[in-house]
Amino acid sequence: MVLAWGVAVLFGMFGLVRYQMTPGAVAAPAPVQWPAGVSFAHNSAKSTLVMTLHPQCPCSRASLSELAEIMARSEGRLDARILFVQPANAPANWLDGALWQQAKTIPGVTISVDKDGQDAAEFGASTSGQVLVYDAAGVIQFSGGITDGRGHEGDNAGMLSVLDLVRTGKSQVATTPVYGCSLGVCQIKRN
Amino acid sequence: MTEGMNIAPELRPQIDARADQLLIEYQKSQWKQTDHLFAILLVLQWFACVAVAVWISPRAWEGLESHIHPHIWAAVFLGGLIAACPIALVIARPGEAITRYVIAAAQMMHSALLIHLSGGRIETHFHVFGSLAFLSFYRDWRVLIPATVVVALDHAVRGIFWPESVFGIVAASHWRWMEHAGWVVFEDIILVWACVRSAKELATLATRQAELESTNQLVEAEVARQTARLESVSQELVGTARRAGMAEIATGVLHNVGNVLNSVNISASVALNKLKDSEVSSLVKVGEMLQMNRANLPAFLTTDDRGKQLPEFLIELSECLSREHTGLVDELRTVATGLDHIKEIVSAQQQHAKKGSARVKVSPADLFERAIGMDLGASTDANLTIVRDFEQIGPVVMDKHKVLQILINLLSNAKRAVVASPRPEKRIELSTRKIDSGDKSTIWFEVKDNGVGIRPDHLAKIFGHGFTTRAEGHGFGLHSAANAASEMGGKLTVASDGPDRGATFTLEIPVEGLSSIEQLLSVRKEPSCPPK
Repeated sequence: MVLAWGVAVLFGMFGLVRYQMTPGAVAAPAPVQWPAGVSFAHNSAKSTLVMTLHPQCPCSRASLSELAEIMARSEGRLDARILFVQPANAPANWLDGALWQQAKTIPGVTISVDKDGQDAAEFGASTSGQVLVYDAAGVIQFSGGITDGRGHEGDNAGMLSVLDLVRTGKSQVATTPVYGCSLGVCQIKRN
Repeated sequence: MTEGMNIAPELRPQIDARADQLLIEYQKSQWKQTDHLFAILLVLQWFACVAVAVWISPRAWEGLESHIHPHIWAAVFLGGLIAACPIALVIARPGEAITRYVIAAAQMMHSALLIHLSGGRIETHFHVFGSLAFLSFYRDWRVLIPATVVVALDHAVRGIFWPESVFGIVAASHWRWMEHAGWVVFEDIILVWACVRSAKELATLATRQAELESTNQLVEAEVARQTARLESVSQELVGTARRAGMAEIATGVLHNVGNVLNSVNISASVALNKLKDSEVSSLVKVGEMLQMNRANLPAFLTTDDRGKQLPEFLIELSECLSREHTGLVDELRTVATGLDHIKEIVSAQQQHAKKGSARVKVSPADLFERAIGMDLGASTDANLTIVRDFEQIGPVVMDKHKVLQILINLLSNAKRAVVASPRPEKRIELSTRKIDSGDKSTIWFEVKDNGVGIRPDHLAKIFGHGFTTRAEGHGFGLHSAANAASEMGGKLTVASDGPDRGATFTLEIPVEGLSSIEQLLSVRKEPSCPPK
């Protein structure tokens, strides 16, 4: 009985970790150059970080925590913008939630609402928590998630790569998996 | 540690065996208690997992659509599964090794689940270290093994399938994992040391308990031996006391018999004197005179001077002899009554020896009169006045002989007191009365004299054994009287204003009504007087 119980728990934990470690779908590769259709321009003096978020995604709290860590350790050498995707037919309180409140507390970050996910679609982002880093020339340096699992805080390859880029201008990893809820951007585009 | 008590070497193997048995009992109790604590904790942790999941990640989203987050299902079902097996073992096999090992593993599984559900918060990792410390409550270092194995297994499985979640992709994460594991091992080392030390203390406790039990057994055996010895000595003492008591009783009996014999002796002396001085001799002389003049008896009665006075003399002589007869009968009746009382005293003593009771229905006033008749009836002192103040009291149940003995003693003492007093007018006042208090009644007998009185310093010891103020006294009368009053549930008290100011003795005897069937059954009727 004990053995069966151990195996059952092992399978359960396996399933839980598997879910946690399953990245979101990649809609399209991030554009190498800053997309012309984006509603805002990149910073030509320093690197620009863009994070796309689903305002209700619980997994993205960890992404915001990691972003706060990056901003604190980058010492102003990074221009960060958070895009909260808002579908056209979203309810009025769509943006109200813990993520919006958490984002407002991160110093040096610009928060904007991405109507119908137009900007996210331009960046090819389809998963909440996706981060894109462009250098001052508007060339892509990094694309991916800054957590090592769904809603999992802690040091990870994405976060350390972004910090390397900010500090040294280069990193060992250019892409990482993105763990979070689906933004529904593709559907928006199709509609 | 076992040198704390001075234990005989031959007892050591027995004590060691008992200590081993106690240690097993202690450990079993400790393990069972900790099992139950963990069963409660596991349930609480399950609820906590569900609460954390609902709070942190209630729903998963895809654009505008959402569904219940998989973490909630994991908290409910996986959390419940983790808790189910150890709780079942606690119920079915409490205190057994398999139970605590499964509990240890489950505790670490809960840690992993909580860490996952909380998004890997560093604070949640404290649950691992807290759980390890909690597991040390078992005082069994082996429980740390399955706990540590589960932690290692968690990292190993994830390392195989999702290495980036454990070791990370960058090299820095390798030593982070080692650091994490190092702290777990560090705590394990400390806790293993604490568990071993605690187990040793428990063993010491068991040894001390076994020694105490052994000592207690020795003490109990010694107490039993001393108790038996005390019982033996006590029986000897009882025998000695009984013999001493019998001697005292015998003294009391002799004293009471002596009192009565004094009265009997006086009456007998009076009767003897009356017989010596009897006019019977005159009657003999008349007979001789008549015999001498038998031949000429008519002439003698009519012509002789002596013969003519003879009829008148015979009339006076008959009257005189009649008075003598009455007096002798009275004295002999007193003698008979005294002898009867002596018989009763002896009988009462025999009943006392048999623990019997001589309770009869008797009138207090009659009892007093009887005592007066025996003690004061033969008194020839013309200056002695006896005053009676007897309340009309119906018959009550009491020990007649004991009360009579006490009253005789009191009257005898009163008589001596007034005789010894220089006061010309000697007076003894006797009274009885009944005092009702609730459902209880008390008969008071009071003997008050105006005799020599009692010194204040003598009042406290007047009832003591052997205390007397008379040269020829023995100090038994009042002592035995007070004892007899106590035996009847009453008391004998004395009051005196000092020397030459008289004394008052009061005897209080509780009496019972006659309504109770038990009392009626316990009371025997006073035997009727024999026909005269």
